[in-house]
Amino acid sequence: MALLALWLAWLIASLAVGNGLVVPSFTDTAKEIGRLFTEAAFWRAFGGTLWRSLEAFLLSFALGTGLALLAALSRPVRAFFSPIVSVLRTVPTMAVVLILLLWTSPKVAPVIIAVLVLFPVFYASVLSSLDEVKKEYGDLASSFRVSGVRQAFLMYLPLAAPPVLAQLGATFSLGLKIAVSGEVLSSTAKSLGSMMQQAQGFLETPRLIALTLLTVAVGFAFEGIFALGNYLYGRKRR
Amino acid sequence: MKLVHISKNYGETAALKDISLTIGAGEITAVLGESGAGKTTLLNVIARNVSYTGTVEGAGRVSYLFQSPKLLPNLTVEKNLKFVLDKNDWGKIPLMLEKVGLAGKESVLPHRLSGGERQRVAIARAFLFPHDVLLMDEPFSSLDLSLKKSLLSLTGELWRENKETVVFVTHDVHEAVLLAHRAVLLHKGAFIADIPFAGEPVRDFFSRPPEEETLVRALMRE
Repeated sequence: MALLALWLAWLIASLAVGNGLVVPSFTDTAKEIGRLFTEAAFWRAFGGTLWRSLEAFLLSFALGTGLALLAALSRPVRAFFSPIVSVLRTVPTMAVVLILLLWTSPKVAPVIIAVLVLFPVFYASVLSSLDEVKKEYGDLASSFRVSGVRQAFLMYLPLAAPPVLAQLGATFSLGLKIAVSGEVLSSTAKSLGSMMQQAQGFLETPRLIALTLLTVAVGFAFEGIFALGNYLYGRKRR
Repeated sequence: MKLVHISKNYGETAALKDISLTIGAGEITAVLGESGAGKTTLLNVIARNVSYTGTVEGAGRVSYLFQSPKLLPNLTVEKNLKFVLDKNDWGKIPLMLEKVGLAGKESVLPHRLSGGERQRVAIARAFLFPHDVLLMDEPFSSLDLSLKKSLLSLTGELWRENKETVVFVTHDVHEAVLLAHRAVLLHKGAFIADIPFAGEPVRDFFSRPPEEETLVRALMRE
């Protein structure tokens, strides 16, 4: 229903404005999507952006999970990372991209910026899940002097994982969005971001909208894949 | 087991004030008092889960029966028991499950059990875990009357097998009189009375021993 409403709003706006450069028609955009699928440059850009998003996603996941585990075990580590995570949450991403471009390459800057955005998300999510498990079952483990290894593999990891896994799809989409923004600002070669920037520069609005819609579709697809994985994992556990 | 001059503060608040207590081997001691009297803190001191001043002698290994069953939802009944036990003790699980009436439920996940069955698993876990002292923190408080009756009787039966030392926190005077040899009363962290009960637990659920009135009066400080 929401998608239908958006589509109708687009049709009405396109008819009302009557200028394809400002609001392109649905048919022009659909044709552009078809054309993009036949271009080798698009697939190279698509692969590049997807690879950078995945890199950032996996790096943030490993970093966020690892450091959250350390923070859950040690108060000093938690105290050390608390202000760092707060700063990362509020830092303006576009400003950081500009700084990163001075220090790194246009290929690396979007990855780092996506890591800087995703890391606090993973860190907070894993840490709060571990805290919940500790609150609920920590006294059970300590009263029965259960070994750390058993606690980690039979209690903390399996019980903290489901809420974190449930967020993976949304977090990947966020990472993709940030990586593409970073690519636009960095003019990264072989990227959806730079294709969008070129389309905007040449006033190819249908192409710009088509690229945007395809990016959104990739995000949706990954959210769907993660949701399906999560559903199957949950069903197996029941 | 001997508790000598035990005190415990949470910040400015004194949770336990200079408690000294001797608990005989094989004795079930009920600890009663209003909320905030320091009952659970006393259990945590015996279990060495919190820091305190004073000394606890002869507590050895402790086992725990919590108010809620605290079963890990991702583990089956059998795996929940294995979680707290040493591998050498895993062989005792089938017999214990039979005793608590859960034979055949080894591979069932906790959410598929009734509330009473979950508490039976917790009782099995508490008695299976090798211990010198069993600490019970209001394990029957949230149960309906018939479930309370059957689980009190099950706990009594399991206790009779080895007659271990038990410290049992409860709000319920009737529960204390049924299951304990004596009751220790606390008020705002201080010891106020030690009332012994005649005879051996577990007493008949429908009996009303005279100590019950004494206990109620002592609790109400009349």
